[in-house]
Amino acid sequence: MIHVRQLVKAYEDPAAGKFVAVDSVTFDALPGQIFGLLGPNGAGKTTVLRILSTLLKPTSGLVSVNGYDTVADAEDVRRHLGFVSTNTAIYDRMTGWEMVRHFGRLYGMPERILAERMEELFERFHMGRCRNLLGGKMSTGMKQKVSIARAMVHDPPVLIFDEATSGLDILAAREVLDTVQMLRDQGKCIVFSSHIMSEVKRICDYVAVMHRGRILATGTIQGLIEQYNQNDLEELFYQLVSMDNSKPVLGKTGIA
Amino acid sequence: MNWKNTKFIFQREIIDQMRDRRTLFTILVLPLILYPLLGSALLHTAQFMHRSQSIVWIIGANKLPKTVPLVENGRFVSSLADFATIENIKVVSDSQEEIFANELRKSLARLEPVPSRHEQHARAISNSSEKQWLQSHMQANQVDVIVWVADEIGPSQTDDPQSIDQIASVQLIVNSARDKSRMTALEVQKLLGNWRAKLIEDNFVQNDLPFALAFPFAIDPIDVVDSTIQQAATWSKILPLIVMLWALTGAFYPAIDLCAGEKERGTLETLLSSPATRAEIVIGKMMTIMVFSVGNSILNLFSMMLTGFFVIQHLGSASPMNGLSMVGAPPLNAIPWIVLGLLPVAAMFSALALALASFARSSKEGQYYLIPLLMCLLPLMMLSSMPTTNLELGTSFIPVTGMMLLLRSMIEGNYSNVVQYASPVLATTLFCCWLSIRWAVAQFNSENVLFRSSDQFGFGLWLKQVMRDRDLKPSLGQAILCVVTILIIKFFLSLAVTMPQSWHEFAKQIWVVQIAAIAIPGLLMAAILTRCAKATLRLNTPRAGLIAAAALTAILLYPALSYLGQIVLHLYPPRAELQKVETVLAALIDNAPGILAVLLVFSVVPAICEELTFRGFILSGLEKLRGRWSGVILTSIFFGATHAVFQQSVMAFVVGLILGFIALRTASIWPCIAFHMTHNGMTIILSRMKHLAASDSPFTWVLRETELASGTRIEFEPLAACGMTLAATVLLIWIGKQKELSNPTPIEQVELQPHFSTPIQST
Repeated sequence: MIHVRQLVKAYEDPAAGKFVAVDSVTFDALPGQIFGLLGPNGAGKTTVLRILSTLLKPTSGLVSVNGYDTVADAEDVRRHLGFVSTNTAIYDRMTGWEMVRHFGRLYGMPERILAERMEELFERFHMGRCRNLLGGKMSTGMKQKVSIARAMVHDPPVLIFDEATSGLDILAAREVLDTVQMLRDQGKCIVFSSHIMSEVKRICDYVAVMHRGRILATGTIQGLIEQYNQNDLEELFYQLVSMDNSKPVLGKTGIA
Repeated sequence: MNWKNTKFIFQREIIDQMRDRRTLFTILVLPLILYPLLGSALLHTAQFMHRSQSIVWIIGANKLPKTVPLVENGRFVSSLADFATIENIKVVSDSQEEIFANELRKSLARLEPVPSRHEQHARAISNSSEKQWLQSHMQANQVDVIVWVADEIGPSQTDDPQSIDQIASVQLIVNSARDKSRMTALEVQKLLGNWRAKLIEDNFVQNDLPFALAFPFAIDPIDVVDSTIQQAATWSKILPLIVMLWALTGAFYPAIDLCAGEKERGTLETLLSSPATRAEIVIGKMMTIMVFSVGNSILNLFSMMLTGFFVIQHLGSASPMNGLSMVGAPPLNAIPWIVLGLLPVAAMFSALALALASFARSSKEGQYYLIPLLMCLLPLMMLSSMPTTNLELGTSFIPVTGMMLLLRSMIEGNYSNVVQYASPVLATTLFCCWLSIRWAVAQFNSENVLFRSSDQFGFGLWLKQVMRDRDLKPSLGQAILCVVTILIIKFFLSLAVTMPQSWHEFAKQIWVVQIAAIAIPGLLMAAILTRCAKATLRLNTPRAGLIAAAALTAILLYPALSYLGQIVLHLYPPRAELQKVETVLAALIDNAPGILAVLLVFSVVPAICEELTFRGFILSGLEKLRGRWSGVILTSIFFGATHAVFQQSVMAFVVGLILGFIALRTASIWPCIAFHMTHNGMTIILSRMKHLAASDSPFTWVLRETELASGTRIEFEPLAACGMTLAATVLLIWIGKQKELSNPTPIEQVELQPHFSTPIQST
């Protein structure tokens, strides 16, 4: 599970001095649940998820993943986490099999167990063609499959998907969503960020709407729609964001 | 540190690089084909290297003596030079062929030849139109050199005492703008010299005189060095340079690909999200780069030596490349040493390249970042191949250079030298290697470096940022920038400054250096880069008595410092030319209008300028170092470095330490200025007022006069000096205690609160 408390991430910015990318973000994501992080481009979603996966250090605030602090026990956090992002590409000059095996080894998996797990993953995701194909020659969908297999090879309790379906065709995106749902059913704790409403509506149990570094609202989709008296998620999202846009800007935002 | 992860990363990177055709080609294939191709090009061009024939005209050949011939069948006589030279020069003399235009004769005849003993230089033909005429005719007839025999050559037959001193003149007319003409002229000149020697010999023989009268001795150089050692000496300069250069260039491409390339392709984030720590990633990547660096270097070495071996063997016999015979076959037994020495240096190069490449977001950017590395390391490499650089204690501490000199000694077989300096060289190399790795790891731990967003750079924007973000006091970087600025201005001033001729000029020079190079950078930076120039420069008034105490300390500490100065002079005696300069300057100071003027120039102005900048601006910045005292030490090192003469630098460093102490403890610049002014003033007063030490002076218990070879010097009585030093120490301790009493600078506690929400956990 994931606990985020009062998370702040600020950068030095040549134009505006301090620039706050993430401002006092607080949320929890529980096992067996898909937590959707919904927000327009530049809302600060990627920054939050990068902090969750220990790539960035928070300016202030507490983040714990599966009971480990992301600053103090960064290695343990990474060991119990699978991270799939638009920025986590796969190596061009490695085959799908080599790619997944390499990360399995880095996760400290014994060779025999790793081989079994990989056979299982490659079969489940129908990745026979990726097996001996170099990353550079794969289609976008194949690459994303390899990425997901890479992130879950060590069977982590927490998985983070940052815009994992961007750039995929309908079929490939659907496969990714099915995988995410399957992982939820296995009892994993999942954070899923997206700006595509239909995806979020389909799979997320719980959502947080983010804009300009802040969380504007959290709750179940149904609960939020009722709370804000809107017709559907898209209307709700639009309403929340435009309401926020009319407020004065505290810190300049806009980082991907 | 989990070495297993490092191993996995290393293995993956190696496989990845091996699958990249471009890397494979530049690192592995290119060295193997480059040298054979170069060798074949060399062989091909060698056949064109036979010089085309030079043509020499001799005008007035009939005036040459018949006894010792100069020309034979259209060539110079073969005994005058080596075969190739003789064959290369075609001689046309007017007695053989009537090809000379009458104008040429007339034109030359118009130039009144003046008998001269200095035949080395072509006669100055003053008339430029004649020069032009000659030049065009030489070009038109393709003549390289004209030898003009103006007078009858031979022993003067007359007994006229007037003509005994006169010698005939032979003029060489040369077009020095053309290489061929110039080279031919040199050959002809040498040839004529040889011919003249034969002529002299003949003259002596004819007149039954001993030849030794003209040539009392011959010069025969004997090289005690055996040809193989000579060859080793040549290789010892080439091989380390080649090896290091290729090691550096071999590290570039993989470093860019492994860092900027991964960022570009988006795989870096994948790797960073794995449990491998940044250090494990860096070491794995560094080892990969090192493999390619060492591999590239060794392959180049191997290929070059192999090709060189055959090319030299082939050309060794052929005449045109005589110089190569000195090179000989490369020494194979040196290879293991070279490889051994290469390893730590390659590790350092790899770590440096990785650290620098981590700044880059794309491969293209990576190239920009690595050029400065090349710029910094090239001089270090070149330094080692300079003939004047030798392996000694000083050079063994220079990174890269030391290792290359060690390798050089090893190839030369100078093992005693190797054993003596191996440990400092290795220590330096390993230390630099460790530092580079630390830097690379730090780079990978820095978010700003790894996740740099592409913000546009504008000068105005940057300036705005600097002004907005400026602190109360200067930052570390700004302090160092100030030092660099001072050093650069001083460098250019030292180039512009000439040896002063008068006291006024000397005084002016000191003013200019103090104000332009030292005071202005410090004051300007304090005004622009800090929000509180007053706090930066420590302009606040100190507690009463502290200024006087500092001045008194300077007087009391003077004997100890002057003893120290003498020890420094004893350990590092100044060079002779420096002493000469000092005598000249001392004479200028003696011409000063009065002691007050000297005090103003040497004590007041430097004390104010140097204190404001060094203990003011620079120390305020360097104070931010982990320990404040390391700031004092660093400031003193910089203070020493801005003094041009080494002996002065050492003393400036020591005085700088005391001044730094006073500055931090009193939190004011005025006691520092007082100390500095008094210290400088003491030197002037003691050198000017020799009568203070005279037997009737009231100071005899402190001062005494010592006779030296260069004159008298005033020294302190040892007992009095000890007492004074003790008193100075007590005073310094008292000044040190003032910290608690003096008002704390409340300004330091004012910090801007961040405008976003209060942090729960600060990182």
